[in-house]
Amino acid sequence: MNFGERLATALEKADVRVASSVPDNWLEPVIERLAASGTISHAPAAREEDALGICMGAALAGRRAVCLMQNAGLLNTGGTLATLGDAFGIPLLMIVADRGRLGDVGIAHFEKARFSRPFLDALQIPYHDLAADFDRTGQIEQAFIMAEAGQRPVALLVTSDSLEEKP
Amino acid sequence: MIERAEAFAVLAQEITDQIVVTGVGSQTNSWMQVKPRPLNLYLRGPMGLSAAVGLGVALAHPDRKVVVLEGDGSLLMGITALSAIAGRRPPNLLLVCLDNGVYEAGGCGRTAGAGQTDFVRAVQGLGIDRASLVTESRTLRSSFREHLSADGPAYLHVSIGLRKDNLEPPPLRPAELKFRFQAALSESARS
Repeated sequence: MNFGERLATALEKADVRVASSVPDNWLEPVIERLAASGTISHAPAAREEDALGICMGAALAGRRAVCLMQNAGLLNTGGTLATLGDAFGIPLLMIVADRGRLGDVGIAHFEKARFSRPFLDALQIPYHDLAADFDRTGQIEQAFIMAEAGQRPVALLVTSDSLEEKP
Repeated sequence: MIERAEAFAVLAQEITDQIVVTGVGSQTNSWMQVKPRPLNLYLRGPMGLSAAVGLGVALAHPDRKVVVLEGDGSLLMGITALSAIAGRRPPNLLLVCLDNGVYEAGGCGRTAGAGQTDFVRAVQGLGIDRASLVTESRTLRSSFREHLSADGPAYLHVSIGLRKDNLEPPPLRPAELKFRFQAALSESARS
């Protein structure tokens, strides 16, 4: 199975009901697969704040939700994470393509990776790298358990190492 | 133009078992005065996200009608969420915008484009066809009923007067509002 199929299947197994996303070319196979899911309602969003708002609405209404975005868009979401996610204590999963790290340095990406992790630290959002074998280790379910235990958003960061399972 | 208190009184009479999401500031504070109930999701921030949050609630509970009460300033701030609503076309979502032309909770500064922006045309242009304007109190009730009973997504733009009422926000902390709302949702699903 490819990365998109594996991640979408893991999200379905975790009983995610609502997803929202802003495109990134690493995440596009996942987004495309979520759009065809029979159990997850996926809403494409124009801005990352909207995607987070949609997922936070679903989570406030008691459903598991996942929000997919690139790290550039993550930097737009400070107010939403502070005054909605943190204030209400909303558990949800953010899957963020952390572009611009070693091996993915392009002219368009360099600044993004410099700020994405300090941004999450500033907002006290727990984050971990998405492991290449995330579906074998149950990392998606573990991230939701962490989000629900702490009643706050949790982020899994997609790096180039996440994309291909090593033999 | 309709007085705010009159508009909210009509909405309070017409809304029964629907989920209500209220935008931060005037909408939350006004709605809490006329119809306090656990099935209200009172947003305390940020501005601009009520429509997106309402879409999330509507997708999470497709069997429940969701009404979003939003202000014009906040709607403008998050108007891109209407594209997401248009893309998903949730039949159970009604967005009501109460337009007084100012950021009332922020000192009554005029909203960008106040008096110039045609919200109904903008909303229709973004892909929500069922969108109407109400400017007189005698038509508010019938228009609201029509939009509430129709398959959504639907949008009702209500032109209201400016009167700063200094209403108090909900006395509960956001986390308490969340748990109370979730408990009410579960309870209403069982009954």
